[in-house]
Amino acid sequence: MTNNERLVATFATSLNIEASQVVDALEYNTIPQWDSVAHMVLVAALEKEFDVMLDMDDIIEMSSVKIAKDILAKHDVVF
Amino acid sequence: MQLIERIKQHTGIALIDRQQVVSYEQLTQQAEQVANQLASHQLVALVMENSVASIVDYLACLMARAPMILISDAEQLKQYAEYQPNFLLYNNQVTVLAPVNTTQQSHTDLRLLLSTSGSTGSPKMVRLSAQNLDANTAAIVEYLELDSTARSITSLPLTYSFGLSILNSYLWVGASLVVTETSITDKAFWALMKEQAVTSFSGVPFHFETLQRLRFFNMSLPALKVFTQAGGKLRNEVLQAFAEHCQANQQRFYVMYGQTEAAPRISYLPPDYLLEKLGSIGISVPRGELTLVDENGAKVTEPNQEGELVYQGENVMMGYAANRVDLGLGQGKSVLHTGDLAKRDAEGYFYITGRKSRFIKMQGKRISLAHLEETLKQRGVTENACLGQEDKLVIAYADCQHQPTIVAYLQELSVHPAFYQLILLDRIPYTNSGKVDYPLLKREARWL
Repeated sequence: MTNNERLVATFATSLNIEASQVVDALEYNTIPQWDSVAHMVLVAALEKEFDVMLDMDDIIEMSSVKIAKDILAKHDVVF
Repeated sequence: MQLIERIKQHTGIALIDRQQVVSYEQLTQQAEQVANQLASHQLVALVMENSVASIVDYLACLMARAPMILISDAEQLKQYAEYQPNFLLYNNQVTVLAPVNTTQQSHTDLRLLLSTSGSTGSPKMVRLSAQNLDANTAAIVEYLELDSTARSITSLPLTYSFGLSILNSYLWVGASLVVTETSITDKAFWALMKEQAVTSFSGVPFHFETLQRLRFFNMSLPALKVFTQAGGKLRNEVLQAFAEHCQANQQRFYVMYGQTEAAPRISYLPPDYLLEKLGSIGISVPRGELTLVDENGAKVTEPNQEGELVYQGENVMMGYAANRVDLGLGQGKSVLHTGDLAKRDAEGYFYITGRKSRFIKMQGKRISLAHLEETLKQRGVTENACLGQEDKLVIAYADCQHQPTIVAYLQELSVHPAFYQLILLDRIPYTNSGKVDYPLLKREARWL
């Protein structure tokens, strides 16, 4: 699996949505499934999947799929 | 109502949001304008958001002595058809739903109807009077040592009894409240915390678990002095971490316990005892009394003996309501059987040990397992059994075709998949006496 596929799968499982919904433009709090509770589930799942440790700024800035990729890229995950 | 009288006398800043600063004078004036369009003892369905307009509407209802049902959006209105609300109030706009009804007036003292559980389609409501709300607010203000210099933020929904009690207690003392729809996982929330020099933060266990994950302890929030936590048991490890952080930073951390039926606060742990009495719900709020009773209703007087936690105080609800007619009823006995099992140590501090009735807390919201089972049955999941604990729900079912129905219902209740587990069995196990064998299911689930 590519890193992109892993990211999409993690989002889909954590937010309980279809993989097809996980696109760069998808934003936090724009769908009922991505609320603050799901956000923390997502953060934990991303940390585990990519073996990274996100800091507070990363977590509260991660407001879209695109930004999630940018943040993971900072932690040397290549997309 | 004392709360309203006090608000009218305060000066200075009451509310702050992204756009404006609202003084007590402005707040009173705006609320009076809306109150003029309502009628006393006639029911209002109030769409309550974390906004200045909603707070104005809420105070308007209290001023007009119009009891209200708090709903989070107008869509929810249909669930409360049994109560025949007269007005819909949203964003300072009054819509007449039903003509003013003089034959079915609600009780003079009735102010607020709150839902008892997180389950939808359960129209059973808690009836709270002006006296219930005033008594609880005065007690909270006293043990939190609140004064007009305090400033909190709406980290909880105002439709939730805990969130609402923060609003009431801050307005009681002439303090200020930052009003926001954002949550602790939003950047904007933390910007407000810093810019507006918020002095107190309140949350349910989820918030504190999240703060810890957010490496909150590294943040610089010099104005922050007080934490209050309720809405379920916070894990001792997390509590310990906060206790140590607070000790090092001269902050106070209050563990509290309550139920909507008590408007809602019942007990608090004085912050100086946080480490010594780790995991305790503390002692009764001022002017209330906590006791334990055994299965026969006799008082448990020996320390460290389990019993059902019983609370007595002026803040205990008038009673429940199931329909419009019930709104005419007066104050019942001011004794509340909480359904929680607890122990008291030799020094009088209480510890919750379990539950008598089958309820779980999910993200601070109470869910009745029996109601869940019943609703699922009505929706065709004839064979099901629900069990669980804090933030963990297990649903056993016996027909794989029923899975989508269960998932859809949990989504309606906003229960995130991370907090539930579905187990498919050949059949639901029963004991010899014909009851669902929950202990067996619990072993089966492994997760609990």
